Amino acid sequence: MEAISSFRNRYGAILTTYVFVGCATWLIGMIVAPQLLMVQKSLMYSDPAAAAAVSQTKASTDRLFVEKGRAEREVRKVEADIQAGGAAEADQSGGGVFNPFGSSGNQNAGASVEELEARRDELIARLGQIDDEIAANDSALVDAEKAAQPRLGLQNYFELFSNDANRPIFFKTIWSSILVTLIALIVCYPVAFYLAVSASKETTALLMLGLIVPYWVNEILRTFSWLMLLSSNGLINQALIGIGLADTPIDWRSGNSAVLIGMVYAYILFMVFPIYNTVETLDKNQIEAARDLGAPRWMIHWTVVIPHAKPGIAVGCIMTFMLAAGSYAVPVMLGSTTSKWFTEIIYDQFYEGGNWGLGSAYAFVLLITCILFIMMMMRLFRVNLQDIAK
Amino acid sequence: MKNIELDNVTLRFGDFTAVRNANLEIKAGEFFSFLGPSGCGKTTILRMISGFNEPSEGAIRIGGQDMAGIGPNDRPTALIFQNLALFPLMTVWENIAYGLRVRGLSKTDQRRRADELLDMIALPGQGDKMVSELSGGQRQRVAIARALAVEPAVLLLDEPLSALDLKLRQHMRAELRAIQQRTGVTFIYITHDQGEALTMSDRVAVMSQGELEQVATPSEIYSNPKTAFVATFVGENNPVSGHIIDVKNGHAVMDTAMGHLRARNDRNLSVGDKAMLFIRPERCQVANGEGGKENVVSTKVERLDLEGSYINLFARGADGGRFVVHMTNNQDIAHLQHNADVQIGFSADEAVALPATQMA
Repeated sequence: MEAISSFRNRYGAILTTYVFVGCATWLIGMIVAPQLLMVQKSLMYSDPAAAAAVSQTKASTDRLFVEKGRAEREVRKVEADIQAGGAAEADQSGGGVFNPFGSSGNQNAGASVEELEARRDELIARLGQIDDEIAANDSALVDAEKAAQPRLGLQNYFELFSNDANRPIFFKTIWSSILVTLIALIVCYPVAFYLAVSASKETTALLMLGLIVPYWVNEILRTFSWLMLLSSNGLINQALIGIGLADTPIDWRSGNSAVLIGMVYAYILFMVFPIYNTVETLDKNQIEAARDLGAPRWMIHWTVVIPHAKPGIAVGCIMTFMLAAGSYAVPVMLGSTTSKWFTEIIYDQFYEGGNWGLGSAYAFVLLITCILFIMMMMRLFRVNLQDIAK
Repeated sequence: MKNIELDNVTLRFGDFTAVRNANLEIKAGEFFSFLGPSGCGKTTILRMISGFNEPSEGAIRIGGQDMAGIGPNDRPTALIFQNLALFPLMTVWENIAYGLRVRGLSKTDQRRRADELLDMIALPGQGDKMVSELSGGQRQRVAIARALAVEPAVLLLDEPLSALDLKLRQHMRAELRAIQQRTGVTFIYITHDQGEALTMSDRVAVMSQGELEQVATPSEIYSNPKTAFVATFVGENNPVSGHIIDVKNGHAVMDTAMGHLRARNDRNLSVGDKAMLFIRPERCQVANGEGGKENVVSTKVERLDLEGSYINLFARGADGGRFVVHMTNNQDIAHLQHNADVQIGFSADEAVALPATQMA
């Protein structure tokens, strides 16, 4: 309260209201509420066998009702035939005789009254049976539905680690995201250093523009352009074959390589800019001082530039990793069936499998893993939140 | 021991010539200063000697070896930056030992050498502090120790005292001089502060607009300036413009708005040349009609400033030019009222006639 009133004294009522309402909306509406909802969903577990029993019972009841309707219709017809004193011989022969129930599909065509009466009794007995079966189904359904009711439990979480199809994809996604982060770091550090230290003002502006322009295009389209570059008769394969580096087209898309390339490309800016921003604040005299004291170039980077740029490197790595681990469009478009991403599995749980609880649990595990990764990076680079905020 | 030679060194950045035809020899073990206003090219010369810039023309030799194509990391020079450029993420001793670490010395050797240097700069036992915990003067000394750790033949200092306050600056002057004498390393010192250059240096090069105006000992620079720029940039001087009407016995007679004045003719000007006469304020006397001085100019008192041990007399000459006299504070000044007539005298040997070129 005191903080609010001092804030208000400094910035006025309108800005104070805006900031605090905005913060509250953001915190509660965008972070806390959705997460809580997701956690709650993920903790509701419904037994798949019980669910299957419910749908089986329902289907069987449906079938019984269909049979019952058909039998009742037949009983009515047979009784009409009996009153008419025997069923019509056949439709095609009895042209002049009026028979309102006659049809080409009359099973009892040409039957005698005795036969018809026997058929009627048989049908009535069956109808009684059907009613018993429906009643039995209804009571079974109540029990099955009770069994299939979602219950509180951690089974959704255990499911991921006992699922031999999804577990490897989860670990592969984490590992591949780390790989994407590393490749992006190796690609981006020299670019960021060049932009911040060596390039003239005009070159920097031009290169920045070059980096940003592709981002004016939608991510889907950018990824699609990689699809064209990497396809088996795409530009890259044609070039490789043209200069004789490959005999046959390389199948980039069967493994993970297309996905990795696409992701490094998609998230390059998120790595370049944080590093560029920190390297830019480095006193360039320190680089010259190190050089003057005899340091070779790699050592200047290792001892002077990288320690200074650590917060930027940490931020870049965290952002790239998070985006890569949560990426959906790139793996869907550039991946193949053998290079599924964990996000695709989560998507399937929600929209194909209809198991929101399981999907929520998967998503939550991914979130926790990403948070652990961030904390690990911060420990590894010995940076704290204040450094990153800078 | 290695001397440094600049052989016709020129450096151009596009159309701009930062340094023009510099010829110079700095002796081994010398404390040599480059003095000049900002933008005169002194830092550029320093960067060429240390290897961060290559001359467009001419050669730089250290110990007789041409330095062309040799990078800053391979030269026997160490540079102390204006802002010191200490590494803020390293401790004091790691800073000092950086050059040794680069050379692959073991950690214990690095530490031992750093501690020795810390003793030398009078900061014993401070090695484990961070640079940010030190005061300005202490950082200064750490920067010197870091540069000396690699045992350079030449230490290059780029206005290292400019960020310090006056007291500390004066203290560090003595400290720098003492370190230079103790180590015997050649110091090349860049400054725009003439006090620093004159008090510390064995020799001074005065620079203006990319050119060396004069290279000489401090007393020579002060007493016998060779150009109008040096005369006015180093210390105070009263300029009187005119032209030469007679030369004899190393003296020149000039016709000026204040009458005919005599001065030394160090630059061998000839009759008819446009010239400037310079006379230091402390070499002038209030003449009081006694005569005896070769030059006497009539002026009116403008004002008197009491500085303490001496008094500044500001007078205005017949041509409207200002004339300053430093009087010792043991004279009768009662008659020096505003607008009073005053005769100012000075001897011909104390004044110098120089070509009428750009003043500072």
